Amino acid sequence: MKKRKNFKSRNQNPLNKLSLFQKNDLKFNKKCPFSAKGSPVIDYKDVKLLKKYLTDNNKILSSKITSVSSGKQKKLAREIKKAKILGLL
Amino acid sequence: MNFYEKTLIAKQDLPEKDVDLIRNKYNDLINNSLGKVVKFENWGLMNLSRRIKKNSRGFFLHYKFEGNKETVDEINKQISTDNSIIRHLIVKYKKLDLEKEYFKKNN
Repeated sequence: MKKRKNFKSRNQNPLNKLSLFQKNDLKFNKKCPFSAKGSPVIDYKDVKLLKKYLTDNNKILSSKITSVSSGKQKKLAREIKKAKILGLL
Repeated sequence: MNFYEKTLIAKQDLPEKDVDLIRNKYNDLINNSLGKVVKFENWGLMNLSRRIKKNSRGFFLHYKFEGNKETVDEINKQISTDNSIIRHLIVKYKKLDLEKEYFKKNN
């Protein structure tokens, strides 16, 4: 039991979002955060939203980790690049 | 007619008068070349995420306008000879969102 508790607490660490091979049952069943009704519009001016999908070194996170759908991932990448041109990110 | 959004970044060491001059210059340029400015937003002096042409900050000017390809060509021609502008970006839209302002200052 003790081991399990440790495992859980490690998963909640935000620094761990990069590793793909954590055993988290919910991870791969998560739905796309942009496809549901009333979800936010992806825009290059919305810096707060775009920062969620970048690593600490300003690289774009893979959709395997964030579970963004393939169409929205393309759009997201385009908007992030626009923001980088303007020096916002 | 198409809808566009244009963002300019002016140099950090310009006096406020010159920023106003730049603002009016491009406002008139759009209106005189078959276009029409729908909305203007002044984002003010903001930090850049990294240095661009030896500047670490810049004045951001944001236009929403409608116009043709000729309007965009005219702007690009002007910007290429303008020394006080570091970067610019023009994006084409089918519909403009006039309500949301992402860089509004809470005063």
